[in-house]
Amino acid sequence: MKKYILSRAIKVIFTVWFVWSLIFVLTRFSGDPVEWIFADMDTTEAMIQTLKESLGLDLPLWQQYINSLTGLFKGDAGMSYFFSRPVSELFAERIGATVSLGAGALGLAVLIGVPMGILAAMKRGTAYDRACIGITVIGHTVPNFVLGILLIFVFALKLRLLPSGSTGTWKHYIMPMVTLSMGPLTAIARLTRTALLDVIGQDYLDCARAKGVDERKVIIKHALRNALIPVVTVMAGQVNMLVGGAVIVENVFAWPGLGTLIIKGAQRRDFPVVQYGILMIVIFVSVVNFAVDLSYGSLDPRIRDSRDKS
Amino acid sequence: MGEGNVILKVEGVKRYFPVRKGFLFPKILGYVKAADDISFELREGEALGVVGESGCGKTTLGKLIIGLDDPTEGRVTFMGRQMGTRMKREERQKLQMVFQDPYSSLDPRMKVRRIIEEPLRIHTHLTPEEKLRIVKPLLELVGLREDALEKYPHEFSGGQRQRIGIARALALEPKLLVCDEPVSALDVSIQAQVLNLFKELQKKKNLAYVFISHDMSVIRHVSDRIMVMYLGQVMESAPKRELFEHTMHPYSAALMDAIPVPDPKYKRRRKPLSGDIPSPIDAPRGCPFQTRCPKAMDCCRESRPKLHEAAPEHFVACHLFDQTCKKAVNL
Amino acid sequence: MDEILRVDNLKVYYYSAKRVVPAVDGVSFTLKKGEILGIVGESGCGKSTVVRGIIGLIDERYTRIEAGQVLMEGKNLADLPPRELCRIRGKKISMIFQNPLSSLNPVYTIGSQIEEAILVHEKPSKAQLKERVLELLKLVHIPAPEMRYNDYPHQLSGGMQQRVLIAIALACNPQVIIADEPTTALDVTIQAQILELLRELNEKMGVGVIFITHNMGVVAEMCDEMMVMYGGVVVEKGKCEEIFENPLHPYTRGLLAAIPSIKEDKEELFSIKGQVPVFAHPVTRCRFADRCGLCEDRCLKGEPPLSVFSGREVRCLKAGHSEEEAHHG
Repeated sequence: MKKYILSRAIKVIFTVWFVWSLIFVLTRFSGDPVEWIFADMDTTEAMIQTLKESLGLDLPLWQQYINSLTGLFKGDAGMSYFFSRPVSELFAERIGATVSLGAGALGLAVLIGVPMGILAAMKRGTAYDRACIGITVIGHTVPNFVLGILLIFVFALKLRLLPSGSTGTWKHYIMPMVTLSMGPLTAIARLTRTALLDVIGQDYLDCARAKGVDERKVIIKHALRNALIPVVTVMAGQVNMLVGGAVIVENVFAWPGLGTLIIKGAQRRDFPVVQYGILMIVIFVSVVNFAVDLSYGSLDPRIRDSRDKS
Repeated sequence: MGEGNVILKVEGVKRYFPVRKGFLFPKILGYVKAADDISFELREGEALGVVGESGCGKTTLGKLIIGLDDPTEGRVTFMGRQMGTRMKREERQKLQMVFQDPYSSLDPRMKVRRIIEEPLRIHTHLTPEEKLRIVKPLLELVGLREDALEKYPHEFSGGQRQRIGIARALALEPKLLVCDEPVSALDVSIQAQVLNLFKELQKKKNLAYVFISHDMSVIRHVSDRIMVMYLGQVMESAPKRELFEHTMHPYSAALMDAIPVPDPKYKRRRKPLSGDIPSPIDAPRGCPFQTRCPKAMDCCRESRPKLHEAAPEHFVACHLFDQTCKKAVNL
Repeated sequence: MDEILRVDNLKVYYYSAKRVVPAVDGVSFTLKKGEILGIVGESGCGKSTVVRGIIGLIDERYTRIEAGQVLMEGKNLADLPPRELCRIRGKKISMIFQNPLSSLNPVYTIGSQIEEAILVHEKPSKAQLKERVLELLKLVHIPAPEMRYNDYPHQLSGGMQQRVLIAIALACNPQVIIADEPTTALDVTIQAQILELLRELNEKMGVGVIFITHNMGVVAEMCDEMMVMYGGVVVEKGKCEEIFENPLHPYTRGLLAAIPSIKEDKEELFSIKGQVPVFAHPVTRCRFADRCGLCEDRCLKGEPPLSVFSGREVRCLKAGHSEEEAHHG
């Protein structure tokens, strides 16, 4: 098991490094930040040169790469070109808003998605089941920016019940959270339903019934435990989707989180912000996947076993 | 026996599956010896029964014979050609396979006519009429009516599907059929029909069989010669009558004894073999059967008995019939 | 007498979109204390449905107990509400299944799965509980029970898994064990071990066993009484020895003749022609008529009753007359 964790950790580090490097190269190809900073200004060659020097952009590419990598190891992610403040400070200010939104959306998705799926499986073939399938199809196909704008239109502009954006009260949370959770919620509901239906024909449920275990306990203790194994895996994928979704939803609702920061950073060619933002996302996604893999082992002893052997 | 040309030769065939560990730099920890030094010959029109329990390597042997897998060592030659995964498809024509599961081995979207014709379509350039001229008598031969042609597999029961599978295998007039547990999914009354069909075909078409099964009584019914396998090795091999009348290997005896006899007068206190079949990964040194053998001796733990001809045409791999080992024990 | 279970005219029907299938169409039998009753037949004959009907393990969306009684200790199990049926399952009647690996829950240790069987019905202390589980594991001859206690199902061989299932079935000392093809998925040498174990437990504990199988050899070795089923009804019922000695129903005769023998070489096996048909309710003729060599007009005019011939029940109009000719023919 220790060996397994170690080999996974090495893989995570490798992935993070690779994505970091890839983003480094891609941002440099996206254009010159100095042009953006001096846009609509009369500039001299000398001004440009000084700015480039101060930002370290005059160095050859490989030198820049080494610098930013060593900076990263020292814990210094560099300064934002646009805000002229350390990137880490900018992120620290905004991370709370994003995490609370993401966690809320995920909580909503699990708390509603799982019971919805269980009910649909138990009542398969009924009107409730068909309604659930319908909702999940909609949730799966409607992109979240469309849903977000729709919600703003109805609840903020027409009904004037909820604020259309920014943050402050609990009311501000409702629409972004619902929008962001819709994709994961419907995916979890649908998967819970199919996983449970797969399990429901299994012989071990009959064996439990033959012991005298009552039906409710058969479902909760024997069926659900097995059905949740694939659900947890998909949940990891959904967390990854949430990250991407958060960037978009934050922009739709003008949410002062990391998503808006990163998008703005990309538009302004603010390389350190983009790089650091994507680094955070990659680390987060890797850690989540790692955690899910570990929990998978504790849910399913067959998997734990195959790892112990390796 | 002894007549007809040898059509299948299996010479010292080994198939080892490595067991790997680790992700980036896998280490080979050991091998599953699914087939370990197997040799035999099969003549035209002869039926060889391969019998053994799970993990004995009988299915691997079947795959090696029809060239769906390559041996780690040794070779399989059929009608003078070496079998393996790289052979051309026209070389496979005279050797066909019948599968265990009559449900999954037929494409549910194809009509029976297409299923049976398929080998002809792949291997020949016959016109539809010519193909039909071949398919119709085949149907009759396996005991299906002509109206079956335009039906789909799901319209048939297990036994009838197995007949369709046999008709497909016969389309190219093969010399040898490899049958992997062809009746174990069928009910008793249907199993009898299919077994009778196999025997009838053997006579009519001079077909040779390699008949793989776990059921000693089925094997007894269809085979001319029987090969008993355990953990990838041949334990005993002899003509049917010889094997049943002069059973040598304790494992063969145990296999026969384990079959419940449909006669209540026989209701007896048998002494079942104790213990489980060992995992093929850590097969014991020496004789593979030593852990369960009621007659195991010291030398069985030390050296692996060689397959040798203990009586005419009767081969056995057991130290009980091995003069050198006996001497060692006596000393 | 020592009758512990009586099934009276049990009917279990399947409802599909197209038709009503009489999967079990009026089956009656009694099980005595310590007796092993065999139910034999091919797939689709209703043998599994009979026992599932008895302990209420049927899918109620497609299946209904149409009629009949299952009497045990003065109660009719077929009428009991689910809650009370749960109190009987595992306690008075328990069941062993065909496929040992899939009948054990992969995510729980075998120790906890045996414990569950006890805890559903009793409340022993923790120490008592563990001791009882270890005793059960010993009873079914699982070597090193303390070590096996914390194993998961996939870590055991097929034979060991089946022993665990037997331990679960025995957990509350039931009076009846239903064994539904308990050795079909096992290798022959392992099958022999499990049969031996079941016989031993039957003798030692006096538990009655309903043994379902398609294998005539297994019936001959295990059972005292047997019942041959075809198309949802019993076609022959009686003492095992007598039926094997002289089968009266043409189907029983056919089944016996169709088995390849380990003891002798037969040139050709007897085979029952045709396939098992799917029946639709109501059935108004002999169910075996299409496949029977002795079929006459009167066999098609109504379903023959189960009538008694020399202490045996047979559902054939020609029984008693045809046995001689069939034996010589």
